[in-house]
Amino acid sequence: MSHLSQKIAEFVLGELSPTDAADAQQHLAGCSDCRIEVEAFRRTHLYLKTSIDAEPPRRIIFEAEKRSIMWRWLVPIGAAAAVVLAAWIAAPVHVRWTDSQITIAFGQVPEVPPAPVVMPQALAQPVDYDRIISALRQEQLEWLRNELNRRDVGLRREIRRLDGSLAYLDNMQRVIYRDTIDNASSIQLLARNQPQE
Amino acid sequence: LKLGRINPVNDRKVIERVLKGDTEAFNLLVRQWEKPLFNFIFRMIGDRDEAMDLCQESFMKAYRELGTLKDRDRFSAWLYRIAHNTCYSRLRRDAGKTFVELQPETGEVRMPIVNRLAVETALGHLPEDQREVVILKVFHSLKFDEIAAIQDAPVSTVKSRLYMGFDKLRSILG
Repeated sequence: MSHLSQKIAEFVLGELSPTDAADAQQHLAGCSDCRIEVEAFRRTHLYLKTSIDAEPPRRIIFEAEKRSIMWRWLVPIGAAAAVVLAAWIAAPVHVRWTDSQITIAFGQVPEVPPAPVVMPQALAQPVDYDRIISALRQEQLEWLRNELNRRDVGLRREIRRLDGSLAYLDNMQRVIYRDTIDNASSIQLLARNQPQE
Repeated sequence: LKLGRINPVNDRKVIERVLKGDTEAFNLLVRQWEKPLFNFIFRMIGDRDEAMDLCQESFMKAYRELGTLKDRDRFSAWLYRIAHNTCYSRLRRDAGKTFVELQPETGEVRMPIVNRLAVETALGHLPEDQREVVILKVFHSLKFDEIAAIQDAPVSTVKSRLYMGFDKLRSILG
């Protein structure tokens, strides 16, 4: 059998078939290069596994969208409107309002003298630029406010992270300082106990 | 996938419930996969808060696109693929920046913290593709073909990435 090379991971992690694993064992018995490689892989793998999983800082929960009260009323009202509309379409009913008098006709459409056609006059509407500018400005201000808030949150998070790092380094420095003092004391003690030449 | 689970739920059955309109059933999938997914992203990105945001984003995408999942028995692999895409788009955006979590944690003995920091720092020195393979293999016990599907790369490439990553980690961690 050739060197394990690309099979080292599967061998160490127990993913080889029994036959392949037996072959690999046999090869390892006579190949010191592969033994060194396998040992190195195993050591690194073990070291990595000492890094335990972290707990998520918060939980994710999905909630079903709640129907509003308005929707609760809209559904029956909509259904009733649909029934009326269906009846209207199925049996032709004609309603006319002329000279303060209402005429309701079923079936045949009553003859109506054509009303004189009055063309609507186009009225020149002035463009309200002030309102448009004000709306745009409001929109920009809103965007700017949100953007500043977002960045502020990011900065605060970064500060918290750096504070954490500083505290950690500070602690490490104290530990190293204490170890140095301990070591110095030990060296002095050893020197003192050393038999004089 | 051999991921540590407590009272595992049947992903397929839950997915069917969600697709029938039971939105809150999706929480069962979240509860099952939240921690592994968070840790995968955390080790990829190196920042706890950012990782939580990306984890949430990945679940949102999964929820929105659940109907497009063809093989419902492979939900976790699909979810990791979504998390992979989410991480990579964030890493592309933040190219050039490096995140190394150094926040001390109280209530734990010193050794695990130092080890964790050393491992996280060492992982941060690997290129993203190698780091991802190492994380998915070592911490999530995924098979090479599953990682290949997530990275959209041949199995041989995935293996090479693992060995190259391990070589670098060995030189850093000693």
